[in-house]
Amino acid sequence: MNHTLGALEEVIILLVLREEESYGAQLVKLYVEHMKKEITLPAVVMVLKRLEKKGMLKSRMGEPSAERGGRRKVMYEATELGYQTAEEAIKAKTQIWDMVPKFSK
Amino acid sequence: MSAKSPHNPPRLICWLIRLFCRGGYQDEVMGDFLEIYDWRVQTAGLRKAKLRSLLDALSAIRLMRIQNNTTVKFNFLAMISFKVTLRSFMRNKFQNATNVFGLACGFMVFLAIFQYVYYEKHYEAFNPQAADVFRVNNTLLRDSTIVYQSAESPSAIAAGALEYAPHVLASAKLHHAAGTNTCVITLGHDLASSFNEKKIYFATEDFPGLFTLNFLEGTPDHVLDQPFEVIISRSMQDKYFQGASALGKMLILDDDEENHEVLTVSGVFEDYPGNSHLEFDILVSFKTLFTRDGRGDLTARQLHDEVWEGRPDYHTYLKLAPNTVHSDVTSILEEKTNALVNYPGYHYAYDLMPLSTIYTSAELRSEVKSHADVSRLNTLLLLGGFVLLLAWVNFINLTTATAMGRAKESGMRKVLGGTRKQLVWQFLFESVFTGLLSFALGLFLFSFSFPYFNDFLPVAEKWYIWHNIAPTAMILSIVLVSGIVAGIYPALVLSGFKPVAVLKGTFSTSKNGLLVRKTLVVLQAGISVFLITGLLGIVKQVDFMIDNDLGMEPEQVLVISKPGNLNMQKEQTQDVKALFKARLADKPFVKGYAVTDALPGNRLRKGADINLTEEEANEVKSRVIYVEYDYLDVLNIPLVAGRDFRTTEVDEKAVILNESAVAALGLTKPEEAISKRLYEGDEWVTIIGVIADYHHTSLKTEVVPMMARTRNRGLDYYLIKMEGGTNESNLAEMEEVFTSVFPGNPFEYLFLDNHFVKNYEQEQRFGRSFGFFALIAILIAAIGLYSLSSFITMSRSKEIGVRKVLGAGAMTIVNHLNKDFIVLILLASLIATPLSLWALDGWLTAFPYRISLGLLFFIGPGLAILGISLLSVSIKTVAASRISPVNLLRRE
Repeated sequence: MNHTLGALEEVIILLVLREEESYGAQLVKLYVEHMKKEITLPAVVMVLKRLEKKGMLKSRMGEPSAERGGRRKVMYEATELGYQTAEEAIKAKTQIWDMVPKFSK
Repeated sequence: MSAKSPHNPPRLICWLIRLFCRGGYQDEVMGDFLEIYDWRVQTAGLRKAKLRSLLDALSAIRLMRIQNNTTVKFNFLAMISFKVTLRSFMRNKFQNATNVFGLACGFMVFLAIFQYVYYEKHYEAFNPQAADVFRVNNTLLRDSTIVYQSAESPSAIAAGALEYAPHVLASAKLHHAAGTNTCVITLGHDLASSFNEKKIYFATEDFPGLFTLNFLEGTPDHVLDQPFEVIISRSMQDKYFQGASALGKMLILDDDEENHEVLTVSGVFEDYPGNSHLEFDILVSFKTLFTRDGRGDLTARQLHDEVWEGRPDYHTYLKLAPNTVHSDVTSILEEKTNALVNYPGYHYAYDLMPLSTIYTSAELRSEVKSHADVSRLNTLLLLGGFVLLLAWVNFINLTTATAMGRAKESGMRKVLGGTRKQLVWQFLFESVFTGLLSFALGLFLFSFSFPYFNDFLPVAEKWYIWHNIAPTAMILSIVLVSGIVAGIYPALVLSGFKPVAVLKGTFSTSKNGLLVRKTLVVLQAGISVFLITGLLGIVKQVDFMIDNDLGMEPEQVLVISKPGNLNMQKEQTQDVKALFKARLADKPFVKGYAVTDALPGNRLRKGADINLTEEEANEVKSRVIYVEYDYLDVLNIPLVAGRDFRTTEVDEKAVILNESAVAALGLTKPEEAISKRLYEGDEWVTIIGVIADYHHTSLKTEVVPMMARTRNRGLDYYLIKMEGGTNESNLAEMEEVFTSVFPGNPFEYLFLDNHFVKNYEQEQRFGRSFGFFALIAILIAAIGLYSLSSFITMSRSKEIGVRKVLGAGAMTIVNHLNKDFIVLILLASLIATPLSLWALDGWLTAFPYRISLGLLFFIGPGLAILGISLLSVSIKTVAASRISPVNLLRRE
């Protein structure tokens, strides 16, 4: 099983972890808010499905709501594996970052 | 199911998502998509949201599951070989390039016209509230005949409707400050920086909200709710303060009724869009009016806010709740107004006009702008359609012609196992592709020549139309459909041939195809004839109106508007005006000086009913102008009988009529009218003179019965006849006199003859657009004929060779080949000439003074087209006739 995370996958799984449980539209909004750039919905959905296939997310059907034209949400939640993989990825990066000398000029 | 989301994305986009998205994900993605769309509309605005949603939809193709079912959806893609398309394009480089270029020209013209017409027909579209805001129109009726219909209403309507009528959510009221007065804005106390302003209105505090003014400085809340507040447009900010912040700055407003108000700027708004029926640069708080002097026994507040009947001087706008029945509102207003009417038979009616239809409906009294001429717009659109049709005919013609040359190719493909379906798709794709290519080139040409035709087809912005989904979709579908239709004939015919017949060479161009092509040539030539006739007619008519004798001499007459700011004067107003006149009279170049309230070249606004008896049946409707006594002299209007006014004071009860008025009164000779008593309105006056009819407004309107009277106050325009000296030095001298006599007023002038020509601007613009489009149309037709002739000469090369071998000269062959075309062109002229003359005649009936359609109109356009066609056809035929027959016959 592939236990690595792409750059976008990493952001998305972090956002899911932050929210504990989230869904596509909310993730797009959060992405735009935090990353300060636009993203298309299908890109997010693709990533969610891939992460689910890798076993890092699991999903359940949510409640329908009016603003979604009465359609159900699919709610995603990180699995144990997802949590650990994300943690490792971030830790690895933080370790490297800590070793980076201060940038002069 | 619960209520739908408040904002729905375009249906096309939802459809795309459903098309792309794999089954299992559809519900989830669609729901997320709707939610995001809604969120984007709220955070980024509708336009951004639509754009992003399109990107979303397109990228949804990533969610597609590739399976058998998918290939069925998209399997036509597999039938198309782009390489073959490029090869066949390159094989006929020149023909295809001209083909593309012709169609591109057509698209360019069509885009320019379509955008202009769309712009003109969709005024107020920028205002999101436009659908709920209505203007109150006011009609006065005597029994059932209309006395007047005004765009303005009495002053109490705006507040009254809000108070008494249900479903009225808000109301706003405008009063034109510079309607009859000259308004002067002065910055601080510096008299040198003063400006005459026309686009200045008093507005109530709800106005900025209803008309969605975009504030650059200040806030929309509570603006204009105090007296002496003013908000100005960005261009006024630039003009007055060179772009520096205007908030809190002081503007002084003076007008010639001696009002003098010190205003404080409380906001700056983005210039109001040109596609509105309103046009304003300065809005003064309405309550400022309440501080002025009252009139008669009314206080200013009563006058400007509480009059229910009469004095319709206020543009009034109501915002209604959705689905309000108009009569619920108007009946209440009518009841309140008509209760006060005490002349028998008279009553008022109100109607509510949606903002968006104001600009395209008939002009009422006191409109802010002159309205669109809808029939002219439709003519233009028809014209654009024609040009596109011409280009499109070319396109079909050439696609068919080149496709015929590919009969062998399609035979070969079939032999190698190609199916008919594949061939059909290939041909369709090719013509759609060429169509799209032409469209792209057309867009480029459009962008390139935009500055040129924006002169006569002005729109606010180059790519205006692409902001609107519906017209964009329409244009794109025109492009697609024209591509498909052009490809259908070759696709169906060529793919249907039996490969054996084609490859053996027994295949020949069908008679049907030739007939179709000949018809298309006739259509093209006919449209060209029509366009040339129209162009000729318009140009001749405009020239006729400009060159025609007006019955007076506007040349070398300078017009100065009355000064608006007389508050700087210590002495009495009358003396200053006399002083101005006396100082001018000293100048050697001033030959005459007159004052009038009706500027020649403008519409005559004041009406008067005149009567020789007291019986109502003998009443004649006439127009009246007020002048000082040198008027006839300055404009050199000949007197037919009687005398001119002697002085203004003595002749207050004397009138001068024009010949039309004399005739309308039933008198046969002008001399009979002299010294007759005339009942005018409510007083008896004496006719002292009769002048020859002259064109006061322009040659677009008929001379009407007219009466001149004298008066020495409230006259708006000073006319100065100049002779000798250069314009520059004369103007400098006059400016010096003007500013010393009327300090604090800008010196603004115009020349009367130029002012007259302005009346024909619309026709001149129409003529220019016609000329430009006719030129393009003829270019397209010439391209079409040229390529068609090259195709025909090529397919008849064997025949030419044989003829040459048998001794035919070059000339004989050219004549032989051209003969077919000449017959077609003549046929086209024969059909098109009467039709176009009929249409031209219809256009001309709007003009009371018009040209007659002479011989030139009957044969000129036809001959022109014949000449152009022969030229374009002969290039190829002459070349063909000079090739050695050996080369022609050897070619196999």
